[in-house]
Amino acid sequence: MILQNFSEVKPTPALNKLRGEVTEWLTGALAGYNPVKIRSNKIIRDAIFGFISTHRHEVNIIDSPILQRLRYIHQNSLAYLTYPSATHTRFEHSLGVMSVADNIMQAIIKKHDTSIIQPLEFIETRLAALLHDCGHGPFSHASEAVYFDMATELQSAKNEVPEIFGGAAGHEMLSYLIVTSPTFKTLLWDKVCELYKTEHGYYHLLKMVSFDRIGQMIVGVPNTPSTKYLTQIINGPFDADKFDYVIRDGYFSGLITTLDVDRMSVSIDIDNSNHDGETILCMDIGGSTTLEQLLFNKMLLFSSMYHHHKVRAAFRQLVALLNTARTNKIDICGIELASPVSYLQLDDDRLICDALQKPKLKPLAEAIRNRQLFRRSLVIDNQVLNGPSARSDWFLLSEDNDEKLETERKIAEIAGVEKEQVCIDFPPNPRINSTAKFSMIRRAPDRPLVPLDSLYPVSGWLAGYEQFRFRSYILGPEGSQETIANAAKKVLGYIDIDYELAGSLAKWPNR
Amino acid sequence: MAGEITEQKLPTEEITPSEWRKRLTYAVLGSLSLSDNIPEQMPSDVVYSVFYQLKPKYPRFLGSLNFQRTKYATGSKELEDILFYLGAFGLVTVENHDFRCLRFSDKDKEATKDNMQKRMANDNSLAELKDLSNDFAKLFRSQTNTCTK
Repeated sequence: MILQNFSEVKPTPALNKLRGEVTEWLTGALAGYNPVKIRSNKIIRDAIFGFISTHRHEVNIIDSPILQRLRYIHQNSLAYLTYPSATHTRFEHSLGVMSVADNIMQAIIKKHDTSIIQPLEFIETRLAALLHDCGHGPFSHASEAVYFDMATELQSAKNEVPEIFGGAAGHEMLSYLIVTSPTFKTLLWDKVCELYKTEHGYYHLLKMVSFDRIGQMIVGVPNTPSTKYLTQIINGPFDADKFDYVIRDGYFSGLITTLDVDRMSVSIDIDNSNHDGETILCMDIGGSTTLEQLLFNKMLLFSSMYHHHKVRAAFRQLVALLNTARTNKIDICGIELASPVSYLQLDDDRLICDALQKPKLKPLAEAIRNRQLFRRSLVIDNQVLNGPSARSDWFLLSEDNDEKLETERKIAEIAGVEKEQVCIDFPPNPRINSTAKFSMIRRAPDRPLVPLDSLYPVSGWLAGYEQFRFRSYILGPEGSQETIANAAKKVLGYIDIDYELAGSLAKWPNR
Repeated sequence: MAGEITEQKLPTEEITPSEWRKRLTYAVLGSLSLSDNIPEQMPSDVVYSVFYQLKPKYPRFLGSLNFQRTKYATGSKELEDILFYLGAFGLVTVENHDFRCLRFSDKDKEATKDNMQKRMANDNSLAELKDLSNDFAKLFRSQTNTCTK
């Protein structure tokens, strides 16, 4: 379904509640912000893309508390405790995505003509890129794991308005709610427009900007079939977001990831040959190697960084901290973590600093602060699961959060440690199959497009990873590995696991 | 009955994402194991397509599935995640890397079936899961008989 404007989105109880909370937050966040007129476009030096050009109204948005907040939210949560230089933030990522989105649009114009993308579409697509992550909470996906998995509000909104939120992640839903809020318009955008009132053409254009359209781009819903490709630049199978984070996360972690952005710029194009009225993003065959690089590097980042056992341990410790605060109704900086929107009031520094002052949260916060990360007590992969029944039991445990929490509690009780100190961790799916399935390649002009997975064996590659390298963990504090492993053996006695091998893969000090 | 999918309404009670995920997992595992008519080898594209067709009839189990559909493919992040873990823990293997033909062996299927029946012995949704599995089998068979490539 393609919606033309927000008024077509039916109000629902869950959505109304979230909207009300976002309005309240925005009112406070933007209260003291008075944008000033910017005399000329600015350039910002970026470690990855060099100079990023920003238009004047974008500078006003960048300077607003909505974007400045992202300076204090690390892109990769606590990965910097394992990869020390991975300290980059959502702020520079947002600028990078805007730069890549611009590159893609310029490349399309070069292949067609300047009228193919209207000035208003340019402005809206760049703003969508800039604002796409403004809904992230502290430590990015760590807080998302808590507010999205544990709360019902976002899921209810998803069910009530599937045409908008069906495929959206939690932070994308929040970004959508922020930019489509009337408060965002009145307290920020209208003020920005007023600054340029004397410049009639520019002012007129800015006044026409629709944040409903921008919001839809952020959640991946096309505004019209003929401009579907603009949405795909922001949220699609090979969007500006992926191009930026694959390069940026690789660069700042020190992993060697390369992406031929020049090749991409030459080969990217749009296609409407499907005769269904849709114009989509595609890549000429010569640029398919860039998409292969994209997927290869994404896989590399997952196997070396996002799924690294220490990165996962730090992530789980953060989740434990947030869950402890949430379930015990302990406020952070005076904010109770009751709703997904409450996380928008926090950033990484404020969360950890305040948690250090709260007796119940202090041990968890101190462990993070001093890099006392959980250790692996057992490593569970398919080679330690003996037989079909064990495979089936472990899989069902991975998918049942209540059973997982109960199992963790029992293990902690037997091991004699606090319940938040035992964690069963199932790292997330890299989701590269869908990228390959929906990335379209043009082998020759006027020929049907083919999906990338027809010419590149992505699924086999992922299968190799999932079957031979993927691991889940039972984690616990330093010094308790063997105790926790023994406790796990008792609690999980119904699953036939090769505990000797699972323990040896965990590499305890005494092994 | 397959081919006669009647749309049902989504449950109105508040359901946590964890609960949705659990229901979906049971629906996928149930579909793949509770009927005797599911072949060991299944082209994954057909698996996606069949679940797409079944979603309107089984919203209580499949309500959280979201699909992306084009002329070329049907995809779902939620289903992709579950298939990933099925592969990671060895229940499903990929037989043909180019085609992504999933193989759920009879042995694994039998163990999963027993496991599910045990877990859901006192749960009246088991009957609905069996219906789902039968519908899955019929639709699946109507769309392909073997993994051809």
